[in-house]
Amino acid sequence: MDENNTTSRFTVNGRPFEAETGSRLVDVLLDNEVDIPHVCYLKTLGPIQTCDTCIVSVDGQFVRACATEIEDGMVIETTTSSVRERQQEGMQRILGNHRLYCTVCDNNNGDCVVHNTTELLQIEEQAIPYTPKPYHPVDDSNPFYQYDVNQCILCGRCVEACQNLEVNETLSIDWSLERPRVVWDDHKPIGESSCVSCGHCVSVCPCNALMEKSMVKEAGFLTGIKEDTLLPMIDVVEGIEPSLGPVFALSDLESTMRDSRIKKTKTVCTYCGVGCSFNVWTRDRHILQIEPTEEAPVNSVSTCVKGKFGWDFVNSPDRLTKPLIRTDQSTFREAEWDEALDLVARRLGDMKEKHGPDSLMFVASSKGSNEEAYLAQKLARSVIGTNNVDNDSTYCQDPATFGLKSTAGYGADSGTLRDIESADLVITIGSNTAESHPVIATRVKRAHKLNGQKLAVIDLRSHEMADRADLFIRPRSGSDPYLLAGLSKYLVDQGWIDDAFVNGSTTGLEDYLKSLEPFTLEKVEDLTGVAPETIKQLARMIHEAPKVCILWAMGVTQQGQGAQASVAIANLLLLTGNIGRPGTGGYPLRGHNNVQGASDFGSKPKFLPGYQPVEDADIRSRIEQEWQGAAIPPTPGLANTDIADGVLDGRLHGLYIVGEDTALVDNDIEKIEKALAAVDFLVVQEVFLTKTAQYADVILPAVPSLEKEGTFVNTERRIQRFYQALEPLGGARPDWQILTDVANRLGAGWAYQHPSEIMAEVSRVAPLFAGVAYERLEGFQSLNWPVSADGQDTPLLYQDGFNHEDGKAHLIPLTFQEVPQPKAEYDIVVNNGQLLEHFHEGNLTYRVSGIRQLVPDVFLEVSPELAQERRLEDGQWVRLVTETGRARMRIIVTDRVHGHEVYLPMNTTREGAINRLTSEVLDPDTKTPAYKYTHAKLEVLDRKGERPLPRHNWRSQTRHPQRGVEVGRKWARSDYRPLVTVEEEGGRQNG
Amino acid sequence: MAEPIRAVPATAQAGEAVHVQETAEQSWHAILDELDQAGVLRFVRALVEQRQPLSQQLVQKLDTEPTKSGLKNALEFMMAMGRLPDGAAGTLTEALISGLTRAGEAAAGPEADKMSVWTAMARLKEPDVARAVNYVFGFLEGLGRHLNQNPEQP
Repeated sequence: MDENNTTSRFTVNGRPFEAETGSRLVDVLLDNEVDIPHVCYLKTLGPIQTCDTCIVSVDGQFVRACATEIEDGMVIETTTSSVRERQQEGMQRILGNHRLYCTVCDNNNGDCVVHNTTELLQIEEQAIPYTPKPYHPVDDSNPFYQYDVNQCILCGRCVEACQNLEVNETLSIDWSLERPRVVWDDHKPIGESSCVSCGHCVSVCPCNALMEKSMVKEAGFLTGIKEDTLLPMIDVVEGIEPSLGPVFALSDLESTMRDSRIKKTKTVCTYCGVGCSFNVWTRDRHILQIEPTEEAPVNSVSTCVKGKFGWDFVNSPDRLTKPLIRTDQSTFREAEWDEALDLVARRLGDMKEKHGPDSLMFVASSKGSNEEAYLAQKLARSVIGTNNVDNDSTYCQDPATFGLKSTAGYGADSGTLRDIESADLVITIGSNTAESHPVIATRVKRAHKLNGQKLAVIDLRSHEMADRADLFIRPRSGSDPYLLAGLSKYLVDQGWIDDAFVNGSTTGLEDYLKSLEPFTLEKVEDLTGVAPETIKQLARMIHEAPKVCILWAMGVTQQGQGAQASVAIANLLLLTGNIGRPGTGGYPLRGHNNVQGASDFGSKPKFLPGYQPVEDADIRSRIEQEWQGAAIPPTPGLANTDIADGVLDGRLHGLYIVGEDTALVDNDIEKIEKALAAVDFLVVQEVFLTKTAQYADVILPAVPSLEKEGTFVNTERRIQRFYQALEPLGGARPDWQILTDVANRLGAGWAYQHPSEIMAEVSRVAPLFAGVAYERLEGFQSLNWPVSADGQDTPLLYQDGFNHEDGKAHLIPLTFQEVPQPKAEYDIVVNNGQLLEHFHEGNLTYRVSGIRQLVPDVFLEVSPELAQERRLEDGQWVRLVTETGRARMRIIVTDRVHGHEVYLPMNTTREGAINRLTSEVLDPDTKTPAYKYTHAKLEVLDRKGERPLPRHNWRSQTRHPQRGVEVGRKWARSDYRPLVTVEEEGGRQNG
Repeated sequence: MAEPIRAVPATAQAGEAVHVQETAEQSWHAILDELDQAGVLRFVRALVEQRQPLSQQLVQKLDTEPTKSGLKNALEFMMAMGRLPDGAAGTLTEALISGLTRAGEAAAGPEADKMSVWTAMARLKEPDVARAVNYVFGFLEGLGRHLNQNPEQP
């Protein structure tokens, strides 16, 4: 055939087929609906080759379809008796490791691969009798899942997922045992291993060996029976079932009956900004499991501990179910919705009348939907008449938005996760990716481990990504901008820039280069502590990599100069031509599930929906016509970080806060608490009685995402739908309904009956979303903005030019403003951020009992050097004191931090809260607080407690990396008889 | 100045009622009333309350070799029935009914307690009797052939 022709022609069971040369045979067969049994194979994981059930004949040789690539002229047989015998033999070997009691099994949900493959192969008798394995039968030491060794078929999916997809490298199969089994680390109980509870292994398990505890005894009609009855029942079922087609029919019947009570609803995760989507299985209000699927556009079968297991908060007894009205200084009273809404509308109207529209401020939720963020800003602008509306992005990611918007044109990730995983070099800056954006980290770790991707990490702290990096750079706190400037200058000096790209696609080179001049390597070493050789090494890595992606997070944006640091990153990408091509780009990793969307849909004081500037009269006029409400003010409003001062100096009289715990996340807790206490009228829409809600005059009970419909935008600009899985609890209502009710009581006349109608309006208001419609987002479909009217979306930006009028990117001169230096007595650098298990202030995750078991309380990481200097041991109580506040917590000693740098996770609502310490320093371009630039005194208290982080936590364990399942070790066992044609000296032989 | 309020009325929080399905509760009320009046609820309630011992008893009964063998045989019989030619079971059943009817008549006849060798030979020549005897011999032949192919089976 023609060398350039990549299509192969071949036959399957005598029928002609065509497929791309080199594609996987099993995929081709499945895509063409040819029944091919397969147990260990999963497209996302690739060929594992342990199960031997997908054996086919190719040109007379018996091969595994999962490990065979299509070639032209192949003659493939999948159903001959000799093929079928081998497939059945493979399956029989599996069944020798598995008890078939499907009818009383919690995994009998129609998707059990073992059950379905046994049926497909028409196996009527278990030829290899099942015998139990000589181990403790069930390991249930993890709070979320269990391993039943006697049901384990040794397919290795879990190991492959752990080693090569999640790349946590905990699981393996010990092939050296007489009865091999899956082991965690070196044969540790799961709960004492390096397992991070991501759930990959459970999600890919093809049977009931690995199962969510939330499923156990809950999924089936008969599985809830107590063990003293159930176990003999299993004996009965097992005794009669192996040879029984009709009994399979019985279990199929039971499985079908489960469909009537188990509801499977597609949803999108409400924790970080990665945007994982999956099906949530519910029975009444009981959440049975989170089922990630290969259809999910971002995560496929991947999840993290929070996305997979962190949903108990939905059914927390603490959920608010009735509107509440403050009666005096110490009491809320329950109210009916009408009364509460009337009160809110009347007070807002009165204040607007008395003090003017700008006396009111609205905060949209970065956890709520796009439609709700849109309505929050519409309420502010079109009903009240103020641009005082913001969301959490001011606290975290606005500097990154600023950096990319001012240079390339769009303030968002320039590509998708597909680009990140296909890059030759990934650089992370100020990002603990493995804990803050775990599923993105999986793809970087996988590419690094399997595909030769290089990884450079710039961070203060030695976290997992740093441990894995080819180059780990540890600059001084807050010095990233200088490091980036020096790196860029060195690249220019070496001539390692993409001249053709810079000349053809950018403007502003001369001024930009001038701004770099002061940043010699020596100067940068003074500023950052990073040696010139290290910078040279990173520059060479960038120079040698055809495709570079830079990922950054709040370690950059919350340093006081985050906007300029982000400009420096964008400039560097432009200089080297690493933007607008597949496998390249800049990726600020968004923190909240919808912090991107809340800004995209207009909850920003400077921007109308779709980043249309409020100063533009034509735009305002066009939108006013659509809204038919108040005139939109022409000047930007106040930001979140203006709230405290705005209230305390008398500019703000009323606050309307939707799903944001301002009292905890603002950078100066003491001041914001004063403001919340002082403001004339505070409305809070919330799921729980948060710190902020405690100050409210009216609390309107809202619902989490599982109880409503809507869309989120993830960090890739990907718009995804989520569907309603549960009824609203009690009297709680979706935020979009509450906002509509309030607006209508103020005379707005909104008629929304469903979020899709709100999205339809957005598509008319914001050209960025012109083609976004619910019909185009059905199921797991998604759209990456900008979306043109015909529905064409844009996963990779800037392929046809940049988003400026001249179509070129703008290189922006760097203008650093030095952050104020702390007094010498504040000698401890208090780095801070997320933990894998918890999210943000912990309002959700502390209501998940399994997560509390893993990480029960906040702690302070202290370096061995500092511990020695101050005579500190694990569990010692200390107090951190800054110029603005103080916080108490226990410590752990760890080499993840060094010197006088400590790390305080942000995840607590109590006395260890980081924002009791953070300063009032703001980024001059975006008003984002310098949370990470916190300096404190450390006082040792006369009290010692237990180690705050349990000793068995994964952070104290050692991973066990290997190259996947290592099936060769299975094949090398003396008791393994091959079923494929094996190569022997002198030719082939059928095994 | 508003002081933070750290408690709300219990009725405004979900509490333990979080797992109650109000809509289900409402929709079942009418049905439950009817069932109660009919006395069905008392019976079901007893079953539910005693479900554990009842299910234990049931399982204990099931978990014996004779029961399991019986279930196996019954299921294998059902599977074998599935392999019978279309209509064979119906024909056989109807033939058996006809045979049993005629046998009943014969047993009640005046000569029922007498049968000489010659009478027997003569009856074998009757077409209906000959057809039945051939049927039985054919069945025996098939049975014997199968037993020969599967000597380990009883």
